[in-house]
Amino acid sequence: MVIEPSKSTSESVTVDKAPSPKFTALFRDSESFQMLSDTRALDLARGLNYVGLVVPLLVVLSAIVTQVVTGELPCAHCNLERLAYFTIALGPALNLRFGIRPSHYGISLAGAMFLGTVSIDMMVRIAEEIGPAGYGPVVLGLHVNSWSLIISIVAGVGVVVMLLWERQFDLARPHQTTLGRPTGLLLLLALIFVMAVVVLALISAIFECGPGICPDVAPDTYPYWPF
Amino acid sequence: MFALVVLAFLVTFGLVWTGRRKPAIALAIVLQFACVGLYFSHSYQVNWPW
Repeated sequence: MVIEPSKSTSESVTVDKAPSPKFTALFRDSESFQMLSDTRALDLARGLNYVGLVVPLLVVLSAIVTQVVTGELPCAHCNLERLAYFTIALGPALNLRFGIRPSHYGISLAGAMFLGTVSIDMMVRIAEEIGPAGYGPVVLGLHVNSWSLIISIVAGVGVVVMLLWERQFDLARPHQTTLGRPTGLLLLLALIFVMAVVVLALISAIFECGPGICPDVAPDTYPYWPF
Repeated sequence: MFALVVLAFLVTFGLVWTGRRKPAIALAIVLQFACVGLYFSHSYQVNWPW
């Protein structure tokens, strides 16, 4: 008995995908949906990755500034959330440095999941122990922990949307950015900013947590402040 | 311990900067496990409705 290869599978592999700006192309295997030119699509992907790189670190920076100005130290969960923000930013950093790949987005997705888990966990604890009054500073009507939960959802959905946009993976390989190329200066500045924020978080962690894990309840003063 | 994990994140971004992709990804994965470990290291008690 001779088994013939499936004709439909063979055809589906060899079809030429004609680019089309119509939304109906999203539902046809024979067409690929393309609204933007290659250059614009690459610029859009790069711009969104810069947003993904800088915004999480801006959140951490604002938390550190608030910590310094008000003297209110972060709780253990708040410190864990900072780590999650760093992980979210790692994916875009890898994308911008080495070219866009799904594996890089996977790291950001892991960070978004961790941030969501820690935020929800903290909300449950606050609901149990404090109640609707909440805990921590309020920004635009919501507690900062609630904002972390919202940001984790936005980041997760954003990464999923980027993973669904397959075209960027075909575009990015020939146009990989490195620090030595024209786009390198912006990336260099972004990475310096990111690493500066991580250094600030490290200094805070050393003075608050010392060599061990951070205290469960945020202390009033830095326990490991030497002066 | 927590400060060490933050330092490791700094090293990871440093690896990205210096062009070492796979070590950066490997360290990022290890750090995810470290984050989960830190999460479980805290002794909070919540009555989860399992």
